[in-house]
Amino acid sequence: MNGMDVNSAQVWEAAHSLEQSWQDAAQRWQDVTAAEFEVQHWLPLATTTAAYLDAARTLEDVLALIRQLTLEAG
Amino acid sequence: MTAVHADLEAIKLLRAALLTFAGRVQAALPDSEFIVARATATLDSLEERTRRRVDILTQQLYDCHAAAINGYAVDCYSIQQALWHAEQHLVQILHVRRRFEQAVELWRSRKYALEHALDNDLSAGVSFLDHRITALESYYATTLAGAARDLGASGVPWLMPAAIGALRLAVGRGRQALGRTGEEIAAAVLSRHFDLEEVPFTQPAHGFDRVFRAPGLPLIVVESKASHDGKLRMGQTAAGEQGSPDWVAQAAADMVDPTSAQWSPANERIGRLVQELGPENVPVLAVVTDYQQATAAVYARQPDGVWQVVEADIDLHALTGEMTTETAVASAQSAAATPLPSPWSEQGATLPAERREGAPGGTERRG
Repeated sequence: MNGMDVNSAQVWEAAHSLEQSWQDAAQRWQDVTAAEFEVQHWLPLATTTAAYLDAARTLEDVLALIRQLTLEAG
Repeated sequence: MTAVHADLEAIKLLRAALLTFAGRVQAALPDSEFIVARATATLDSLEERTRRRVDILTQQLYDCHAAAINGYAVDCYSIQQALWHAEQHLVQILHVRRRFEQAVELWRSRKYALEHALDNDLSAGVSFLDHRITALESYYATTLAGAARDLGASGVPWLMPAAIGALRLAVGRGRQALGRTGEEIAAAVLSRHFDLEEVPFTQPAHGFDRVFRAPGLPLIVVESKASHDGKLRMGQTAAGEQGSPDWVAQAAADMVDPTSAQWSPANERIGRLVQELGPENVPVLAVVTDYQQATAAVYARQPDGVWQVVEADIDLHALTGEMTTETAVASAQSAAATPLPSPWSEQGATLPAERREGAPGGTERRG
């Protein structure tokens, strides 16, 4: 655990929860405005969030290496 | 005819979920910066210690070789080995530092993108849902057959007759539906008749109805009122009369308070702007919609508290004619089917890259 993974988990859980809300809403909202919302607002937000989580995962890996270096240095 | 197939409660829940998401992410991101700063300090310390050890061992090896040259029986091998290990460790640290800097640069750019999305795009999404909620509330209030066709477009501003009908029939059926429809009409009047530009923000339960801007005026607060006789009646609140500087100041204070229900990233920006300008310097307009006569009047609050008429008897039906072209654009949208899985979902991860990344396309993105 390096703290970053905890924060990423918070963002991931928030994203997952929102994803559930969107899926629920999409089942009950299927007119043209739903498609407009999906393309103009939902997909850009989801894509940006996914890209952030991907970069956070890469950073978590490097933070784990730093922790290992610290342990080796005593 | 475009089918209206939407559950009002589902859209309201989605709106609430978007704001919750923004709050949770906004809370997590600053902590991450602290972790990056701490890791940077750790690397600095590691590198400094290792460089110092390399320097010390180098000096020891130099002294050892000097002693050997002078005929002393010394074994320099262990020092040489320790120096080699220290140098390898330094190389490893520098390698990790390079990877760390690259990872931080990428992470930070995407963090800024996410913050920007929360600050701007998400607010626009919430505004979109607000318009949709208003349109559906109007639809349910009126049960006008004609509204069903036009509600497929996007919202009330595109169909003034239905909106006026909604106002008339919403009287007594719920203040929220009445208020939202009145706000939509006010927004249409100001943007179309006065060329003001609406500033997107997350509408709080209590506070500003709408916010606009114009050249030279970064912020104009708008209160909308629906009336059966066209008369302006501003409400009294604990902070003072609606539209007064005290009332503006209180609304701004709530918008910048993260613990307030009126807080959102976009609202905080507007609240801070109000505080910078000074609440007494923020122009406040009131738009009164007379749903019996289908007219609107715009008032401006004067420094002495008097509401002065800017323009009265604005014909809302005439305004409809200016909006028909937008209706045509909106109705060109194709019908929705099954929603695309989001990029972060398991289904989304299996999508081809061009459907997961980059700027979203149009309706051709649907399967």
